[in-house]
Amino acid sequence: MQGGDQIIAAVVTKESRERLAGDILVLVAENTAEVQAIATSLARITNSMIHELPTGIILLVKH
Amino acid sequence: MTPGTTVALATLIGTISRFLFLTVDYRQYPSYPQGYLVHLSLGAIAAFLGAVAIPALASKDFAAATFLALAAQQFREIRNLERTGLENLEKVELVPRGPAYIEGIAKAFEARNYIAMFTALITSGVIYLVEANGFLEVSLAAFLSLLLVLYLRDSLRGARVGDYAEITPARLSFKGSILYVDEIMLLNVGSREARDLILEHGLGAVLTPRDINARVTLANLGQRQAILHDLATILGIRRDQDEPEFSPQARLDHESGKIGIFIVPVNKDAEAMRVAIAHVPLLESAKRRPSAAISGRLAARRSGR
Repeated sequence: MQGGDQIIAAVVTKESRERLAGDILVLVAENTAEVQAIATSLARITNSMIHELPTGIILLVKH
Repeated sequence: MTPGTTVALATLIGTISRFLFLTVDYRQYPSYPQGYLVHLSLGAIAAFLGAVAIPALASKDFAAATFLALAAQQFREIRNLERTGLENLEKVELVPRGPAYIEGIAKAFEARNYIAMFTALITSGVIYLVEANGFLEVSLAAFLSLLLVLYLRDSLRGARVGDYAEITPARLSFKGSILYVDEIMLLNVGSREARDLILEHGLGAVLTPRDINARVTLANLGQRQAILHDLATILGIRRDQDEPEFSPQARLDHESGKIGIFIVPVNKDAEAMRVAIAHVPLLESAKRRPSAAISGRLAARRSGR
């Protein structure tokens, strides 16, 4: 990430929840389809970009 | 011919030369009457300053040199005006020009006023020096001025990206959520919907620098931003302000020096993309020539590039 980039939230399934720690906003979804739907809505609301980690965790980053 | 007529004719020809440089291309600037009026008025002032110099010096009025210094000051103001105007517009551009491109445009506008001034200077000089009938004097002056304008039009054009790099269409693909153009990694796209759209509508290209100078020049961030801006202007861009995943990207491959480019255009045409990239002006601020230094040539030879 470059200077000024900011992680808005993480969106995860219940199974991935325990992989996250820290003080960012975490939204928990039932399945991967719901993860995508939540991430898309939130990205439009916050004008941020959706990124996916190899673990399947979705991060919303404002660039 | 009276000094007054000489100045009037030279000012007119200088203003016409400025008009000839008001080319409206894909950038469409200036293309509205207000823009024309501003630039033609400033061009006319520049032409007047050039036109009065020789008649004033001929009458031993050496204060005319002050006029030329005044002109240089005025032209710098024009550059500032252009820079500020374009910088303000950056906020509403989906793909900004970037400061390097803006500086290049501002300099070009400044230089065009010098052309108006020089053209008027030559015109008044020829009219003053050639002792013939009025029509012949004016015809000769107009002809020489036209030659000057045509010469400067060509010589001020500068290099293009196509002169520095071989441009080839490239395949877009995803490995997981990472977007690649051929083997060049571009960005992480987490949205599956966006990935599908990118694969369906996106276009990729790879720029292979022709030599070490081109490699360093094309790696410049300002140059890459200029390429993206012109591409988005020419091909259109399928994105809105809240869709950053569809922002065009230009990434450098550190190993090869190649530049991978990706865009989701309105018109998906790989050949049009190649031609558009080839015609992007090479920015003065981006241009580098490491081969001019012994150490630069040595480094290039040792790395095999």
